[in-house]
Amino acid sequence: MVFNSIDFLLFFPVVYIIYILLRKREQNFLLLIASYFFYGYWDYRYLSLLFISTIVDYIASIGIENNPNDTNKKKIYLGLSILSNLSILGFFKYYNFFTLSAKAALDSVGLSINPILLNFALPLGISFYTFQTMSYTIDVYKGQLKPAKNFFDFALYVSFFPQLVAGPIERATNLLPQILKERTITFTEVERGTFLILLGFFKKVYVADNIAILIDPIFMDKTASGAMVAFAIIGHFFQLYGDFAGYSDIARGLSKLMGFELMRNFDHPILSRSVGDFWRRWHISFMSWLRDYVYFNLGDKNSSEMRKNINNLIVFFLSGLWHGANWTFVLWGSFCGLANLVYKYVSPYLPGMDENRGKVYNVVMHVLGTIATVIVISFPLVFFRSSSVEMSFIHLHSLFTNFGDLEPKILDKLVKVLFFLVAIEIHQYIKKDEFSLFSIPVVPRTFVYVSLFYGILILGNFNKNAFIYFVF
Amino acid sequence: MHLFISYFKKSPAFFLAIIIIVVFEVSLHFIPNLHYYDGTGSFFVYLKRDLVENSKEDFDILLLGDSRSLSLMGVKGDESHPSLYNLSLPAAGPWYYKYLLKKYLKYHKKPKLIVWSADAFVLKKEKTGKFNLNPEIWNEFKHRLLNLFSYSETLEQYEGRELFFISKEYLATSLYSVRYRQVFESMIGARLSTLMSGETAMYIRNKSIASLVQNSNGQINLGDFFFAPEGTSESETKKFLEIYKEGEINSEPLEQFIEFCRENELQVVEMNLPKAEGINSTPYYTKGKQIMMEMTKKYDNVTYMEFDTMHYPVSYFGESIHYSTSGAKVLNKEFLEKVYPRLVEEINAKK
Repeated sequence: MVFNSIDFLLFFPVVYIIYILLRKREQNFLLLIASYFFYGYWDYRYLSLLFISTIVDYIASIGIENNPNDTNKKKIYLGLSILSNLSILGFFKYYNFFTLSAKAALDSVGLSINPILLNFALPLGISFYTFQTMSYTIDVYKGQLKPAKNFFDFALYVSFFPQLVAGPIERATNLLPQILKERTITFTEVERGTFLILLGFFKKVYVADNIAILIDPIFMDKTASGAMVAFAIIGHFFQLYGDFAGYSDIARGLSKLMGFELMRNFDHPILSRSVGDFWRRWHISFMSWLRDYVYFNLGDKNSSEMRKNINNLIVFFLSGLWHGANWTFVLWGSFCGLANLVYKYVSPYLPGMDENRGKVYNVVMHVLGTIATVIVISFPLVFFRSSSVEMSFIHLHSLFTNFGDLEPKILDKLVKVLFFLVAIEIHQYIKKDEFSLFSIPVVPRTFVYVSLFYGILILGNFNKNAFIYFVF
Repeated sequence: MHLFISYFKKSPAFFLAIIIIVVFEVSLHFIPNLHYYDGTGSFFVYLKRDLVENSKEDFDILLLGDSRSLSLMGVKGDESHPSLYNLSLPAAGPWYYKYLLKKYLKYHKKPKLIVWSADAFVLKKEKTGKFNLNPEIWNEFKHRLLNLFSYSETLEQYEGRELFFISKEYLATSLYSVRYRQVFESMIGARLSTLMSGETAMYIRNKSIASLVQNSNGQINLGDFFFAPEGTSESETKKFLEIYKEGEINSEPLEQFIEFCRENELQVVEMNLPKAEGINSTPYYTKGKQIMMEMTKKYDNVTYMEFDTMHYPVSYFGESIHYSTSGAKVLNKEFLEKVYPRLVEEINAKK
């Protein structure tokens, strides 16, 4: 089920009304059933994968807890969790990719094979929930978390429907205690939740899906001029943000309505003043997951500079692979890693913010930094969005050899689509508060609410249903 | 009330926004002729629905079909000439004929003759599938069907998952801002003076279409309204000649319609229209004609009719499907001079 569907608009109010009438224990049970229904509504057969992941990690964590002094047994349980999750992910997401890549490699040296390929859809959200459950078992292994005693509580942690298919990838240290305790629903949280839902839908159906109309044909056009390609990749940057941050906002908003507090997944990345700043603000739950469970395990602060750089590249490479079983994503991740590395060494020589040089100077530097960051981060998206590596190189070729002209008025359209959102983001950013609009006078605040609502209903694009991140 | 006031005090903007939205949504229901500001596609469907539900005039011959047959002129009747109304709808799918006719019969005297003149294209198997299994088909037809029938009329048209699917779509349009979203889209960027006068571009266009349809008894030639670059008709025809080398037909919608007519003792003429050179001879259209002929054998209330010339030069088409202005002229000349008299004969023969 997707949030921007009538099915969900029927589903959620029913669940919510029952939810607020129940007590905590019953609420959890309701949420578990609702979450399985939410997931199974798309394809009930894939619920089995969710069950397997849940059961294995529950058993593994209990096994680790019951053997505090037996390192070998603890490692076996941890290995069981990681192996089973990565096997599910590897089989369902990467089997065809690796098999076809191996076939291509063998073909190139004259060895022809005819491998069996899998012919079914990628299970929704598989990359999200497998990473979430793995982090749980790793935290238990490291002694940072007590495992859930009740299986159903744990099952709810894995399947909690607002964030099940596209995150945020919640740490058990944050979500599990909220499942266990009595939750209170306050008016403030309901208001904030409603605002986040409204903003999330606006980002998705108004911003992201209207940008899609502008850029999708360009990415399919082999003859698109370089200027159009440049426009499309910048547009895709904002589309991706609207789509994914929109989902996260809706997920957080729904959770707030039910008394849960999910982690913030995006912290105004479109206003980042540098590449490093961007990665601290973009897909925070995933980037911090990679930092905590991959980067820190590859080395520590005493590692050599070279080692740290390689580790960084590995993390970005894995990030690309996580996003999709295609060389386009691998290239995207690798390019992001390289850009990050280049930035690390170049940034000391770039003019930056300076408190002693006045407000105007700093604002100008911030704006210039933001523009540069958007360009640098957008550039590798040519790989992310293109249908194949070949197509991305065709676009890159146009970008550097045939820049040409932009289609008239297309830039105006993008600016119009982005204007309202960017204005809201700037306000939130300056006030350092995502609910900063709650402090503006009643009339403009009412105007913002009504504009968001009708921006969605009247100007939103409802023909493009799925969220981009569902396929990751 | 006390609780409401305390919440209102906590967040007046939140509640004011809700009040504004509710007032706006309710007030939309009271704006007269709102559909005149809607997209032309939706407006056109509204016009036909309005005629079926509200017109006092009964017609002798009712013609049902698609965007191609929409080019056929209606006939204002008199004592010696039976009236003919063209109730064709563009892109409304293959299933609506029976239900629109049923609706017509609810409000009007039984016509003397029904002409089914849809292109065999609408019976293409992949076009006749269940909407819930192939939402792309529904997206193609939905703004027509949602405007054509009320929800209660829709209830009898679908069942099971299909009904659930359609009900959800109706639910979305229960908000007038959603139902008439094209009205608001078209108003964005318009001058205030234009908005105040109500004479928006869409309103002017729809008004002229309403007048055209009124004068021609339902006819409108879509080819008059779009411009295809030179050579489009030739290249498109070439493409279609390839496409129609194959294709499965689902005759169920046609059969369902004919059976309904038989139950209501209505005489049906299946009328095949001229197409761009060669199209009517493709395997697909040959099969389409065969199916129509089979219906005449299977049902005694059905006859088959075609034009003397079934192959028109490609220059008579805007983009190989819809008649160009000159094509529609030739078509209607033959229709009024030769085909219409045969329809009249058909009526007289069954008296």
